[in-house]
Amino acid sequence: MSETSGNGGRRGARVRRDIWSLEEEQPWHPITRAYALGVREMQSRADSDPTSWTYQAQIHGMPDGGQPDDFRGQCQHQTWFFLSWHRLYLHWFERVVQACVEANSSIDYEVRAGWALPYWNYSPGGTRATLPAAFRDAAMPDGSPNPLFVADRNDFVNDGEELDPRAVLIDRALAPTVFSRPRPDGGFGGAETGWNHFNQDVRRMPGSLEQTPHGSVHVEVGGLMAGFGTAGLDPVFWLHHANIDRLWESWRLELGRPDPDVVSAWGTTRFRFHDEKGNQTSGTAADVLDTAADLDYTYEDIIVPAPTRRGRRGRVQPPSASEDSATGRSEGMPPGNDGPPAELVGATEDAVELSGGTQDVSFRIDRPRGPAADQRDAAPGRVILTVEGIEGVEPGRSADVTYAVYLNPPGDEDPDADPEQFFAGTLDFFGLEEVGSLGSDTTGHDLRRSFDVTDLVEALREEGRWDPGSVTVSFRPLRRGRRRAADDAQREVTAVRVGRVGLFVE
Amino acid sequence: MIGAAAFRRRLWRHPEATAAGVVVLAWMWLLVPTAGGAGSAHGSEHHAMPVLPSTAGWLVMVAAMMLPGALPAARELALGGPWSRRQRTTVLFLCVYVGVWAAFGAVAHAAAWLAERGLGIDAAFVLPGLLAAAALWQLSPWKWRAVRACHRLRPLPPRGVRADAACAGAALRYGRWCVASCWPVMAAMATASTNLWLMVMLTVLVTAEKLAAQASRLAGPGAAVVAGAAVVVLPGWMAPG
Ligand SMILES: [Cu+2]
Repeated sequence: MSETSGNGGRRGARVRRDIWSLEEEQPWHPITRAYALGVREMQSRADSDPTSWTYQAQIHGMPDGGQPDDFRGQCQHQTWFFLSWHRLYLHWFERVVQACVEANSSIDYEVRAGWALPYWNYSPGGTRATLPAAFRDAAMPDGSPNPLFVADRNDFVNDGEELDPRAVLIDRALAPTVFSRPRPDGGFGGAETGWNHFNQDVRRMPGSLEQTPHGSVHVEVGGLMAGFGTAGLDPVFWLHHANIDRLWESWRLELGRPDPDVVSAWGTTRFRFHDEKGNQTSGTAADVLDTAADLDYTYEDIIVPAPTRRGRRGRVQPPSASEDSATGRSEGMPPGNDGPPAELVGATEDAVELSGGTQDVSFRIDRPRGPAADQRDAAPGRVILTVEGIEGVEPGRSADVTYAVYLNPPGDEDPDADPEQFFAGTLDFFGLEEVGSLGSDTTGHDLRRSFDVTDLVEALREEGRWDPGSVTVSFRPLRRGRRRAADDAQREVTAVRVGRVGLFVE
Repeated sequence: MIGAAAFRRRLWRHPEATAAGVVVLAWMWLLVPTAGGAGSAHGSEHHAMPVLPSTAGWLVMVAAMMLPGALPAARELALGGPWSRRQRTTVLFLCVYVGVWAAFGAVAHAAAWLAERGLGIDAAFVLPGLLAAAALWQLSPWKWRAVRACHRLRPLPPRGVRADAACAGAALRYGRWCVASCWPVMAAMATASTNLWLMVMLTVLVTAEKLAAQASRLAGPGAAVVAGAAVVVLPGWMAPG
């Protein structure tokens, strides 16, 4: 079996459009309506049918962490396969919806011929960070039940309130200059591993894009979207992942960052799927790098917006400046395992529990002793904050709170300081429910997250706010719409235990 | 120059390299008959050996068979710690881990002695019996829970006695799950330390189980291989040489 994208190379690839530009053009835009009808058709199919709604969601994860087979329970996380696997997954899902749309005579001919999956670009904030009404209304315009509506989401999302700006931030996601890095951080696209649904490989580490906005939007939308085994059951899942896929294109094409070697395991590892007729097919990362030629789609817009206030310290360089000395220290390093390894210079001694409120931890920092010690005076190396050994206090529960992370934030004694100048990143716990169970090969151990805080530490040092002997890391829960206080009072928060918060230098 | 620098960088990334060297030495000792390894003792009863060589032989076999699958875990813990602790973490983790298997070996030898001398079970049936048990264990869900639990490594505290204690604790947990996963196989090896082809085959199997992404897919094939071995070592099937 091999990749059989029949439209490969056709001129004028289909365009994946922004759901909000569609809905602002016209509520229940024909493309949105066609999606709803396609979803309805898929939902009517038997669960065992590979083109059914349930089966498609199970490709991502089996319900309750069940044992995977060759096709289901396959999603790749905390690994460099995250982006390419999800691109293949979305492509075959899109083909299934296209087939449903093409067969539906109640849809305009033009929509039927050119339908492509829309994407949800929440990052501009404001209205864009809310869910369009077509996903929140219980009924379609004709009064029939709306297949795009899911009750099982966080209330504030279904109330049309916006996601916290820190959950949708892309500055840090796009900042890394290499696709893959070994731990402690994963680069842009994740650390090199073997097949890694979740935690099969000890080298696992998610890339920057997989963390925020990917994981944070999963958890902030909440409900079905918050779990591996249920996320694909929410129709907005597919628009979210189309946006993640689009951001990969922004990073590759707009920022001009290099792909990993296509003859490496990254490019050649084969993943299996079903096509829109239910026939088996498969593909590799190398098969899907040119979306127009290989998969017959492009994006309406992949332009990278200017960094936000929080992102200014997130190391986003304009494309033309990418080779200058500011990034040269990491640019010169081969993207594989050959650079000097990072070393731990400080960490918490004990586990830290996060249970919905603000939590500060402080720990001692030592001077580096390895290669980083020699390098330090010439060109300060990278500084990486890690949050490791993450598990639920009560196993099996999905994550429901996302935290913003700050380094050495000012206390009450300094009311003029802008706390966002101390922002290190957003900490999501997507996949938490998979931790702790030993019942199947796909579940188990811990979540890991990391943040490149090189520029933040440099800025703090310049401002005299950096103590080389210790650091304080502050975890603060994200806002949840206007009703947050009321929500929180009733909400039973999933408590999370963090095994270790640490600081690495390279 | 460049070669040396590249080699040094590779070593930076592989603090477990020394331990990998120990594995190689263990295999050399086992495979080269004149070195006084298993080959030269071929055909002799392990009970006949003095206690010390028997203990040393068991430790060499543990190093050869059980260390390869543990190297990535040791590396993971070492790379996640301070520079100055990398070798210390690797050595401490692997020594405690081998210690767990040494303790298992003592129990297994005692049990084998008891079975043969105390209960009067024919020694010739101990090995096939244990391999048959290993084949059955391969098919049980507990076996695979233990394999998965082997992947669980909690990050260590950064320094001092607490880091040492946590590292030793991690090795004890890891070793315990490893014993839970591999006990019938290694009990069989404790009674068949002279059988090189069996050792090679079982090493490949237990290492693959530890490193495979979806390990429990090896349940059926692994059980078939071990059951086949059990038949082959039945008395009369293979002439002792
Ligand atoms: Cu996802």
